[in-house]
Amino acid sequence: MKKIIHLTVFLAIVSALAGGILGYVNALTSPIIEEQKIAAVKASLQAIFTGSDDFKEISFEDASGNVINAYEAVGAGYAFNVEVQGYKDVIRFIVGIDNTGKIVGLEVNYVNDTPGLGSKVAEPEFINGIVGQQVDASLDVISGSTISSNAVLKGIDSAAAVFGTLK
Amino acid sequence: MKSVLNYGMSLLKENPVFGLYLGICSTLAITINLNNALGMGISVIIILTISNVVISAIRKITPDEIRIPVYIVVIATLVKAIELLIRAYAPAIDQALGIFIPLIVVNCIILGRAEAFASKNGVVASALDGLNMGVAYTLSLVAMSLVRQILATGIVDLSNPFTNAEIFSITLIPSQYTIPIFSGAIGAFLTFALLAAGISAIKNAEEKKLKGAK
Repeated sequence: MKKIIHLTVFLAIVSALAGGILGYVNALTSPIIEEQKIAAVKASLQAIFTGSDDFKEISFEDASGNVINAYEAVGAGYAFNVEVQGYKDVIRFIVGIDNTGKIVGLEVNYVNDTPGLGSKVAEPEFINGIVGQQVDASLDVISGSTISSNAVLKGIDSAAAVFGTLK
Repeated sequence: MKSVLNYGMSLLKENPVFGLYLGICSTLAITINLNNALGMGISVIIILTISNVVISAIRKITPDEIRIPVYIVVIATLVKAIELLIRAYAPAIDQALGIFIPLIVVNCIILGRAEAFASKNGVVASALDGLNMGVAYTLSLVAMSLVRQILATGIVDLSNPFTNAEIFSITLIPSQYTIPIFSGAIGAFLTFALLAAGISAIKNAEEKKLKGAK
């Protein structure tokens, strides 16, 4: 009996010490890690919300599963990091929606679809067709690469749905 | 110079990866380039040395029945702490190594040295053992990554993990003669098998020489 108590107490003390150390390291590093996370996408965010410098990663609920991260540009609007299935690979983009529900920017970060066809979703013609529209209206886009552009539209719809829950 | 060479040779022969075949999973997975190899190697050196020291320091008060859980707690704590520090200060390494940093917890080299060495020896000896084994592990990673990176990309480069700035980059093979398969899983197994065979050959040759001398 005494043996069991000795073992239990020893392991409990070791674990408690370990927990304490990890708590301390976590407290030390978590603000820096948050900053690093933002830093990776900050260039994209600043391209969308020109003039904003204060970005925060926020938690959100997404029924579609397409939205990976959500960021708040304090006072300006929200940006969503979205990943959708394109024609042969995923398409990753960041879409910015300002507080009035207008799409203010679209930064396509990864697209691996057919060059010259699906890849057009990363080109200014497609992006300019989307930027400026209201997310609550139905989006009009150029036809052509149906699968890739529809995928991006679906992603924007997911982002808009999350945007709706945030407001 | 000769003692440095001897030290290097002993590291190669008592090597945890090529000599004892420990910790191979991470070795195969991350040795795509020199940066990853050094990042992983240095993380393991630090974790192995500290875990050996801590486990050696508490070896007299650790009850024998629960020594393995205690070792695991110590190692997991260290790995998690290092993971958080890497994520905070060297995000490039975190990006490149991803899941393989937390998986150091189950790298058998660490628990292996805790059980085989640190639990029976003094603090200083254990620290040296951790350092030696860590350096040997790192050397294996560097050897693997050099072969794979040169054959697959023709380029050797190294960049500062904290700022991502390039330190050096040398092109050795023109890009039309590279063998990209070496950056994949097949290349990892091929490189590992060839290096392990080479080291075994050296060891066998030396043993024969010793026997011949007798």
